[in-house]
Amino acid sequence: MAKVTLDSLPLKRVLALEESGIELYPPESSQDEKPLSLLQSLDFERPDEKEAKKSKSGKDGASQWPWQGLIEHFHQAREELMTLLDFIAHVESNEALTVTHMMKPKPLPNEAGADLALRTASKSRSYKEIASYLKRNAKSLERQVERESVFYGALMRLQRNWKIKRQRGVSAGPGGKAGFLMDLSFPLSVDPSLISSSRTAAWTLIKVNQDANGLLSVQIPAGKTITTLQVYLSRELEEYTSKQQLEQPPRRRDNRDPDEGTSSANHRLRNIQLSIFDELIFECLCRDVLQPSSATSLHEIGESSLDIGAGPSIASFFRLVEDDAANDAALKEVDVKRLPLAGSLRIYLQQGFYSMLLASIVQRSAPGPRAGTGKEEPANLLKNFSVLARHRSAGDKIVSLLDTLVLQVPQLWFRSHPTWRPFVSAWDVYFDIPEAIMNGGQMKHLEWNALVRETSATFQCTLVLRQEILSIEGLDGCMPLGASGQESTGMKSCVCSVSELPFFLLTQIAGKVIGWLEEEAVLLGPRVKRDFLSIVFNIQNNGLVSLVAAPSGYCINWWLRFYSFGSDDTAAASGASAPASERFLGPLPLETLRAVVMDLAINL
Amino acid sequence: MNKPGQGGGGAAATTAAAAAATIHRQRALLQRADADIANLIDNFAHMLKAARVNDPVRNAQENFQMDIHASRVVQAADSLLKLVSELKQNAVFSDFISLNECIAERAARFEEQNSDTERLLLSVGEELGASLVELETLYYKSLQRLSPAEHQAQE
Repeated sequence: MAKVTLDSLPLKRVLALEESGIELYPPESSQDEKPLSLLQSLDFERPDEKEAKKSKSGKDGASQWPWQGLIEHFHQAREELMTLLDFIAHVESNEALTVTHMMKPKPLPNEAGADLALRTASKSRSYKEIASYLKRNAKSLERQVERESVFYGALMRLQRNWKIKRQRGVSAGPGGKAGFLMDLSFPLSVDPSLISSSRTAAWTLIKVNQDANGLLSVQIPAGKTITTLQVYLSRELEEYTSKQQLEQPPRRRDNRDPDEGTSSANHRLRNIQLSIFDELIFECLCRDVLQPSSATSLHEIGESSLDIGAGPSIASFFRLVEDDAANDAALKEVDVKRLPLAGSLRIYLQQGFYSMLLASIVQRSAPGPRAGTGKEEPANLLKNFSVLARHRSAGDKIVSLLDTLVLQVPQLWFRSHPTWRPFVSAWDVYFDIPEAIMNGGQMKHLEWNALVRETSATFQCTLVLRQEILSIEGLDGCMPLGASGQESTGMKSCVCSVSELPFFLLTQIAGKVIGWLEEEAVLLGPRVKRDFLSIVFNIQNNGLVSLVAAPSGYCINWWLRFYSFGSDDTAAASGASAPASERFLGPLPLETLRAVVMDLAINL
Repeated sequence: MNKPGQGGGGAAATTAAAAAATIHRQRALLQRADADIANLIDNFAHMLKAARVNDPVRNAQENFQMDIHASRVVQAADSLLKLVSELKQNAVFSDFISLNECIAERAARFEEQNSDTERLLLSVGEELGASLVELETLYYKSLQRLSPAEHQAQE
């Protein structure tokens, strides 16, 4: 049976305690005695061997080989030696003993060199790894430097044109959010009533991002698109309609070339700003049309469309159209008739709005009390636009009337007189009889210094349209027949309505022609009189013949009227009495008229 | 009576405080730059010092040390780059002098463009007027003219 013995714990137990309180400990063994004591505690005998020994001691008999004892001793010594070796190995592995001296064989020279080479190689490998690590990081840092230089360079260039704000909590870094915002809001000095809009609130701050290459990219807020304001005018023409190609508003191309970060961002921001302005103009028009003092009539109003009546037979259409959307859909809604240039109307609205903004800034930033603020009317964009629309419409009517007149009446022509003001248009109207007709079809040689004979057949005037009021200027005394407004001879200008313009002009021209014909007829005989728009020839004892001009429509019709003998000259000359007979000659060319008058003057 | 003086004194105090803060910030940035550069140089020097070949145990120890020094070098370089970014951001948001100069220059350029555009518009208007006169004279004095309806029908 195995027996287990335990060594005493390596604790210092107190052996005795003296009366003075001093503790007595067992003496500590020296370093040499410790292993001896440990060895002595070893029991080399096995328990079964001990029992066998005991049994053998009892059986000791006479039969005993003389060398048996020596062999047993050798066996025992071998076992003890094995035990000792195991013990030493065990103790050494547990480091309970230090090996103070080991006899190692001396290394050979090649082994020393190989060892050194190995260490050098390991050191070199570690340095190479570190070098590659540093190179990788250097490349990544270089890329980062390039990206940041590109980004900040572009940002500084953008800062010259736009206001940049920093987004708190976000740091600029490569490939991530740049943390910068473009502030497109208006300055505080602008009148808030002009710029308050729910549409443009989302456009106030635009994020600026940095892509993987470090280039700037402007991010349009989600749910918003760049829109353009389109303006149309429609007018119902009584006589003819013509379909014209509507002028497409210039599309704001979005430059997506990645190599031009600054220019593309600038372009995009400018498009956004223009879109903001267009939306503000639209909002301003909607506000103006809903005011009770608005002189326009509202037909339809929507989120991005507004149809109003700017005047009699004039309809205005305003649309906020997305840039990328097809414009054809919006155009189909409008009944296209003769339209003025849509682009010029849009520009006029933009210019008016900018003027209002600038005026509000100047007014707010001016120090001291503002003079006359209570008396001045606030600028009304829609009102000005309506006036312009009506002016344009009236101008178109006048041009169409003059076109028709010029077609119908030879020797009449007109030319536009640009005034470069939005509410003033002018045309010069001329009527002159060519020299050939005046000279009866014969060319007359003129000296180089001969004065050109001024005849009364020359007619010239200027039509001036101010807003919707048409005035005729440059006349030698107005012919008030059929003209409205001021009627007084000797005045250089008079007011006329557009509908009465053809008749007025034809009357003036007829008067000039009659005057010229009278001059021609007087040369041949004194029995010619002139009465307003007629020439009266006195037939010897036969009565009177009068050639009468009758302006009607767009031409001058001529009548030949005979007044019988016995009629009062005055009455006949004035046309008060009914003619005995009359003949309708229709619109005659000037040479025919001259020939008729010559014939009448000669023969009568 | 004292209010303008106090206001002026308050403004002067604010300006002085702002100047002091600016100087302090400038010093802090310089210190950061110096610290990063010194850090970088020191770690690189340590890496070079560990180039000697010793026994394997010491070699392994020095290898670990070199790894740490290399990472510290990279960290210092990254810190310097961040400092540069911060300086650039400060230049974007705080460089009012150059901004004001740029704005004044642009305003002058726009004024010049405005006057040039006005002159150009005037000249264009004059040319347009002259061309219009010629064309209208030719048109209205020509024997054969189409009415707008006839012109449209031809198209």
